[in-house]
Amino acid sequence: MSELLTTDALTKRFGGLTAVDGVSLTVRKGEVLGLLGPNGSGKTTLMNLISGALKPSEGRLLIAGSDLTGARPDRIAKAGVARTFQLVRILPSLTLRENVMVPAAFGPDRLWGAPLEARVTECLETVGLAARAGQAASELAYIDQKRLELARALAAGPRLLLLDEWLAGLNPTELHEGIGLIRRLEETGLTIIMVEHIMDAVRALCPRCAVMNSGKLIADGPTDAVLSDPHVVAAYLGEEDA
Amino acid sequence: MILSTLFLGLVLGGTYALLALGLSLQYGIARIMNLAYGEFMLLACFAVFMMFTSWGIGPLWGLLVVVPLGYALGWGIHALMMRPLLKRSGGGGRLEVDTILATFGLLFVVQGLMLVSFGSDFTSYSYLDRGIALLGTTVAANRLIAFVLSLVIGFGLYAVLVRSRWGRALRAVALAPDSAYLVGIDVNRLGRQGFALGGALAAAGGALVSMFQTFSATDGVVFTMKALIVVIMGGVGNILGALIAGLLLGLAETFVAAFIDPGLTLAATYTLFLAVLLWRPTGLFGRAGG
Amino acid sequence: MLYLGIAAVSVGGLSVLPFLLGDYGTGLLVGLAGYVTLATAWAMFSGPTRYISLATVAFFGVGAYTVAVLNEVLPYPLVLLCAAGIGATMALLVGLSTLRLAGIYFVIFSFGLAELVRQLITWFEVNVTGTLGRYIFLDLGAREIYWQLLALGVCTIGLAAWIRRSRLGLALRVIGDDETVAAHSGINLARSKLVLFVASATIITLVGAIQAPRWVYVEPSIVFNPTVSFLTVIMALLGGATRLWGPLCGAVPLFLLFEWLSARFPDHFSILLGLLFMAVVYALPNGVLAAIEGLRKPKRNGASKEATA
Repeated sequence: MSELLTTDALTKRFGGLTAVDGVSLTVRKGEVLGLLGPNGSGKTTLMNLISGALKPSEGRLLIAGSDLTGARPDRIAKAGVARTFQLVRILPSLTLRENVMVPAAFGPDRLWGAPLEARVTECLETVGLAARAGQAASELAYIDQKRLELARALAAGPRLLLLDEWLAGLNPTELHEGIGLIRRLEETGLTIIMVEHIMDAVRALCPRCAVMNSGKLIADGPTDAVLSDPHVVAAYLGEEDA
Repeated sequence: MILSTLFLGLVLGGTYALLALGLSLQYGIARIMNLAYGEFMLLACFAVFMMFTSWGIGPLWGLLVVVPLGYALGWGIHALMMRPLLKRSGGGGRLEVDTILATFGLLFVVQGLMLVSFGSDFTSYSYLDRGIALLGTTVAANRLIAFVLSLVIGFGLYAVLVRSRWGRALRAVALAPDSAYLVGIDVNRLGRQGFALGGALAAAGGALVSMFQTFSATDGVVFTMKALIVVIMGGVGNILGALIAGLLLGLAETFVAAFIDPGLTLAATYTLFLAVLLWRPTGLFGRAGG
Repeated sequence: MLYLGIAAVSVGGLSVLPFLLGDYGTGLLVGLAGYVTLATAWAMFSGPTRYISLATVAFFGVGAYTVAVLNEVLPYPLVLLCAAGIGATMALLVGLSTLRLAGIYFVIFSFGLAELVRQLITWFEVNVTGTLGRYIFLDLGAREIYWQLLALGVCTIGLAAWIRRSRLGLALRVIGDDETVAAHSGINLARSKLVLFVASATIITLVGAIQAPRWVYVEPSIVFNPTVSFLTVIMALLGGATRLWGPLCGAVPLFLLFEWLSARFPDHFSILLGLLFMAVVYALPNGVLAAIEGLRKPKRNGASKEATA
């Protein structure tokens, strides 16, 4: 069983608007998929469907073979899906250490005591925040909040990591560091789906790309081929015209 | 029996709708959950009562006095009490908790003031308490006037909110508080106006209720509760929903009182509330969140 | 070990107090122990989650009324057990219907709950049993009641301390900060909130049940006095609802102050209470303990920024 995630004709309607329209996608273990598309094309909605924040109107969601269609977010998190948020969400009244503890303690591994401490330290070290573990999360600068959010997602020990524009809003130096960080995660064999607008990052990090436009999946394949696909180019140019 | 109960229910429902409308404005536009709302309504009851019994000023003239006073009081409370909390919260979820606590304190202050001034006895006065024949039953004139006035005020306000530029700005703040300022709307000013308008409606509702019901200084919690339930049934920020839900609640209570037991009206209210929470938490006519 | 020793000595000291103080003093101790327990139990749930419960007296009153109804039918320990069971069931029903929704629904529901229960019991007594008002004939003096409350209070603080260090305590703090993050981290929101709410409400019910014999004569309007809900919230807030010892630090001075105020200004009591409540909300939003800490280490933010630069 190498298929980690399968969405089968996943659909989400808000009233009359179909935000995600029959998306069928398969991600294998160890794959890194870039999810592209113009603003409002349904990428974040799809991420919300996969992580359980939204319940699909139609279609099925399978994670590692088990049917989690319509499951609550905590069940999906326990199945090994971790995520970051488009608008960074830290837990301001908790320390960095406590922030990172949360998914390790409640996620798939349910750690407590010494193994929990070890996991927390390891994840904070990965993102370079170990020295500030005892500080309140509300004191962090934006880039460090992003780092903390990533450390928190990693602490779950995820099988699938969902990054929603994690690289957005970083300056060139930070972007360089961020790309390096994700590449190291890739090298550990982690399966990642990343929504991203920064093309250089997509080319550098994602061997495979899927493109959405007005809720539909319009391309899926090797990144170079997808990016030169006329439909994809038209979708992006169309947006720039508007 | 059924027809007269229906009338009584509609009359009560009309005033509930009006009360709920005010609370909905305060919560929907000003983002303030005002637990002292019922106390402000009672202040209007007592004010109209005093004017009528001491100076012989009729409740309808009294209404004209207390409504502007309600607006002014709402404005003052927003400026003095809520502004600091709004500033402190910086737009976070903390505001809700802070305003709930602050207005909970205010509830006890206002209730205490009323207890000291008027005592804890049930109060009522007799105004136009004669029957009017209507469709084969008789309805007390005071109830009929109260019903007509609450509908006039309710739908009048609805028209203002839907048609006028000011009303549209208010609704924009209710629907999208975080982005309304982008189109040049002064969110803080409109929040205060919404809160003050809610105060005016509480006063109007109080004046109308006092015309046909007994009231006491400790009744505020129950009125606040009913208004809150109507707001939730109608969907937060949904004006027409609040009007319809108010009428429904009035009908439900009156029918329970008439055919089951008058001691169970609050239980009926709560049952309705529970049913809505379990079945449609966003309100009977509310939009799904977000 | 040291902490346990200190705790044992303090509890021992507290339990001999009734012998040193007179009847009036023992009466005060009963009230103190009661409110410390109420405020601690309240803060156990409402502190970390920020779900403000205004329903303290709904549970407190149910506990007291259960004792009034059952005191001549069942032996005392069974009466307490029944009270706890009824309180827990009620909390379960309230929690199941509101805690899966946004906090505001819970607040609204709790706001009118005491009034609802009071009216239902009144209706039941008038229409079904035909007796409004009951007598409690239990051979329990102020001293025995104080010892029971002290024991319950110690257990409550112990439970609160244990929860703070447990997985459940962490879950609740995360829920208080951001429910979305909590859910995506694998926390079952509804279950975590429900467990704590039921625990907190059961303790509150027991306080009402244990204090009931102090009244001798009980009727719904006596035991469902909204001031109890009000005092509990203000005590927990004054000390700091997110701290273990916060509610205790708020309850002791406020209870004594309220005793004095209610004796001195009986007519203006609720006005003074309301003003005091607002003063706490505005001046000490995080409680006295946090304010003291803030004074002791000012400008920590600036220093830490320099250290990491």
